[in-house]
This record gives sequence, C-alpha cells and structure tokens, in this order.
Amino acid sequence: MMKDYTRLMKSFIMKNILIDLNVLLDYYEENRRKKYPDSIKAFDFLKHKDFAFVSSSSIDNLEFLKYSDLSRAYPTKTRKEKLKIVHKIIREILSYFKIAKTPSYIEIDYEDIEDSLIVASAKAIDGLILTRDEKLLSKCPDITISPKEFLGKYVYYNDKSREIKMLDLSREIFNIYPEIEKGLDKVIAKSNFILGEEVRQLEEKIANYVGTKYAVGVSSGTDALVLSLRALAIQRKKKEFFDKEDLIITTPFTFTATGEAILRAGATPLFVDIDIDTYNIDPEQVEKAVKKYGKKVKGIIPVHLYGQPCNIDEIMRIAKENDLFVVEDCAQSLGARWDGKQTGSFGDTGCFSFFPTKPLGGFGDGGMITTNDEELYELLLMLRKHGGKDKYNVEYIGYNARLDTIQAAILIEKFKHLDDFNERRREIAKNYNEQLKDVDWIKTPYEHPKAYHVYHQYTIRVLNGRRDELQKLLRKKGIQTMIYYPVPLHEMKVFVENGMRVVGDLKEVQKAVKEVLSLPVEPLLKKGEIVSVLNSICFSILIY
Amino acid sequence: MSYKIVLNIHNKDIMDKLLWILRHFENEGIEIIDYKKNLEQAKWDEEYVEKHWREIALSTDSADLDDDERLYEAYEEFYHEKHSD
Repeated sequence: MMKDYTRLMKSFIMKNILIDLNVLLDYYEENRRKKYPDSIKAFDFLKHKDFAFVSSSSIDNLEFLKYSDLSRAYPTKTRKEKLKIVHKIIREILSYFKIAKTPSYIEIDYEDIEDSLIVASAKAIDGLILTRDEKLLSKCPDITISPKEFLGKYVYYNDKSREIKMLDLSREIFNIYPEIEKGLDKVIAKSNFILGEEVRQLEEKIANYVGTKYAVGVSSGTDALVLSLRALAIQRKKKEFFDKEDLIITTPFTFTATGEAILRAGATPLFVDIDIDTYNIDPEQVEKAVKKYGKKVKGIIPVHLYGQPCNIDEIMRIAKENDLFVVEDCAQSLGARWDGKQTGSFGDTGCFSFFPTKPLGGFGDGGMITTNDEELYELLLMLRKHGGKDKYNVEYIGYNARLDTIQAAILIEKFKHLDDFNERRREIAKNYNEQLKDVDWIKTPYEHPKAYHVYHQYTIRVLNGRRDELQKLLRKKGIQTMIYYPVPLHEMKVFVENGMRVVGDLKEVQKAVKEVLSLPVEPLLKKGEIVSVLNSICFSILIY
Repeated sequence: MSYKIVLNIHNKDIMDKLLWILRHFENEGIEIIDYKKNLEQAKWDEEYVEKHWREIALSTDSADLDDDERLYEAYEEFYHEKHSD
C-alpha cells in the first residue's frame, strides 16, 4: 500500500499538465463553472504556468463546440459574429497556456480518436492530462488526473517538493519549443544530416556575432580546442602534433577539457595561478611562466570562466611580445565582452561549446571555432572532416568532428534568445549581489570594469570555511548548487602522470577550490525562486 | 402544475423593480429561475465583442457531449456553414 502511494506521488512530481477540452469548456460557461468549481480553480492555478499546456488537437474541437453552443443560444447571429466570440476564447487560452503538439506516433483507438490524440500529446510533453472525462481517467490512470486530484495531491506535493535547479532545461526548451520544432522538422524533411545548410547558416551567424571572419562548426567544445591546437601545430610547427616539450599555459581552475586538449594535441600543460577576484588566469603569472620556460612556451589558453572575460588585453600583449598563439576557451562565455568586443575574437581562435547547459546549448554535444586567420580556417575545415579537403584523399590526421545539421537547426532558433537570456542572468546576478553584499562571510562575484560578464555561473566564495555545510543546508531546502570545480587540474592523475608543469604554489586556485559555490542563475528563474535562494542563505546565518 | 413566464424587458430599472416585487412572492411559491441581459439584440461588432465577449461566452448552455447524434449534426452544420462561406 505504502509502495503504491509513493509511486503515485512520484508520478506527480514536476509533470507537465495538459488541460483537456472539458476543463477548458467548463471555464467559459457559467452553468459549468457552477457545476465544476474544481475545473475553474485548476484552470486559474495553471494560468501562465510554464508547465501548463493545451493540445493542438483540442483547439479545433473547442472552436466547433463553443460555436455550436453559441448557435443554440443565439440562433439569429451570423457565423462571423459567433466566430468572433469563439476566437476571443481561443486567443485567451493560448495567452495562458502553451500548445503541446500532436505527434505522429498516435496509437489510434478507433472507439475514441479524440482521446488518442490527446494521449499522444501528453506523451510528447511527458505530461498528465487534466480531465473530468471519467472514461479517460479510468482508461489511462497513469497519465490522467482529475481537477480534484490535481488541486489536492499535485499542487500540494509539487509545492512541497519543487526543487530550484541549477538549470531547468526542460522548462527552457518548452518555452521556445515551437521555434525549435520548426527547425527540426525542416532538417528531418530534407534529411541533410551532415554539414547541411543549417551548419553554414549557424557558422555565419556566430562569426558575425563574435566579429570574426570565419567560424567552423564542430562536434563539441572539447573538439574545438583540440582542432584549434592541431591546426596551430600544423601552421606553426609544420607538424601534425606539438612535441611533448612544447608547453601551453593555462589555468588549472577549469573543466578538464582545457588541459585534456593540450595533451591530445601532443603538448604539455603549464598551469599558472588565477586572479581570485575573477577566477580567471592571472596575467602576471602568465608572464612569470613565460620568463621561466622561455621558448618552450608555445601558446596560452585563457578560459573566460563562468562567463567573465579574462584580462585579454594583457594576455594578448604577452602573446604578441613572445610570439605565442592564443586559443580562447569560450565554452562558458558566448556573448561576453571585453571592452565592448566579444570573447572569441581576440585570439588565434575562439572555442565555444554548445553542450546543453551552456549559454547556447543544443540537444547534445556541439561546438564552434571562430578565427580571423584564413589558413587556420582552411586547416580546421579539413581536420573536422577526416583531415582533407577531399575525404577520400586526406592530408592530415583528421577527426570525425562535424557539427550535426540537426544541432545547428536547434541552435539557430535558440541563438535568437541568447542576448535576452544573458541579460536576464545579469539581472539575477545583480539581484543576488545587492542582497548578499552585506553578508561578511560571502564574497559575491567581481565584474571587471572592462568586462560584460554573462554569468553562465553565479559563483560566490564562502569565506568562513563552511561552504560544504551551506551547500548541504541549501540542498535540504530543495536548492541545487554546484561546485565548479572541486578538483583543480594539477591534482588530477592524468596531468600529474603526463608531465604537467606548474608555476608557483597555485595558492589562489587552492583557495577557490575550497570556497566557491555556484548558485542557480538560469534565465527563467522566477522572482520567488531567487527570493527562496536568498532567504535560505540568510537563514543559514542563524545556524552558523 | 407549475407555470413559467419568460419576459423580454427593455429597461434595466424596470427589470430591477420587477425582480424586487417578485422576490416578495418567493414564500408564496414563486421561483426566480434566471434573469440575464439579452445579448442577442445588440450588433456584435468589434467594439461590442471586445466589451462583452466573455459575458456572451459564459451565457451559453453546452450540448450534451454524450449525445453523439446531436453532436454529429452540429458538426455537420458547422462545417457546412464554414465551406459555404
């Protein structure tokens, strides 16, 4: 019994709700409003909720049924007049709720085709059908819910268990799904899955946006780094790979891909300390490393961590003075600017990631390389496609590292929202900053005056040594937080055993590793959710 | 045996007064079933619809959805009208 109860409760958690026609009709007729008050309460509760949908199959039926009702009530009215009323209703409904598609994978029940369509819609959004239809409720108990049950168990349980996630991807996707679906359908209809027109379009859009001559779509942010380094080895050394003794300077306070790419390109990572205020590579340390290792140093990979640009003026100066290449790791920084110029436009190449959680995220892996260098561009085109202009007669050791057309189609649609989403993250960050500025054991993020930080992560430092306790407490309150990154690269076996070099004691990195905590900052975060995070942090003071 | 009177009143003041009088007879067996604005008389132009659409929508009495025969007839009528526009 207890097990069944748990199963039932679990099936309610965070499910989307698809409102059946009978509930919609209840809302727009006085007699039905009196007779079915739960429908009205449920409808009102669901207005403007991002998990509330109506099925595309219901709209046509709604038009017909309400029209028929009006015909009986007002027999002298013209068709045009009656439709005006019906369309007002439909417009209002669509202003409250999103449309769930009717997919092609319908299991048609010839006894009730209408039900088959709505069931298919519910499956498409992983949702529950809110219905008064007793037949449907008993036929499909796993995917239906009555208004009464909804107002009781669903609202109560979800209110209690609603988590504030670091990133609610399905919320983001369903918000713009009609646009994405259009792009997907186009690719599927044409079936141009490899390097289709959409890849070229996205490359053009990103190059224009970042402000470079060229952009090359690749299979991931990691591959963007690897291909960049391989192309630079071919260009600068006239060799397929760097040599083991070639050093590439980077930060150990980053995702492993940055260091991994250096190893995969044949070189050795040279880790230097960060500026603790920005968490980015410290140009003074870069300069020290160049002085110490001289000509062995071939290049620098600055990472615009959390969406804040590095002090790229200094990095570029050092690179120029010492004939070093610069590969910008922009995995988290699409849209971020330094002195008004986009990240990814300063170095020899800029490497972007379209991992789903990134500022511009696809439905899987993807990446992009930006460059102004025509020779590098040509090499990158070859390397992503097995190493040759002609894949049946190749020149270099290449990769199968193309960006899929289907990902490009999704990204083109999502790209339209990038600036708005970045701006929204900045607003949330501002809100956090203002509310947390007086908490003396928290250090809020510092934004360099020349930087336009896009807050891919909003990362605080917990200065009282109780970061892990705070994270546990927030978790108990249903607030997800993350530690980016718990282990610095110079402590990872893969780098230790592959000859990494380190300059200095990296004490700022050590400090960051122990103190950083990233709070939810997704663009669709609601005001109430931000307040909950802030309240929970402030509440923790009472416990400390 | 009971009787029903359906009236069409063109003046709201008169309707209010009449209702007031009728309510005095509720104990004598008069039941006021319904009274509503006659929305049919006005011309449903853009301005009127903008102002009264909700009221009009709420005033209908929906069909019995289980009565398939009636539903199909209405469906046929709806599409016949649509395609004869």
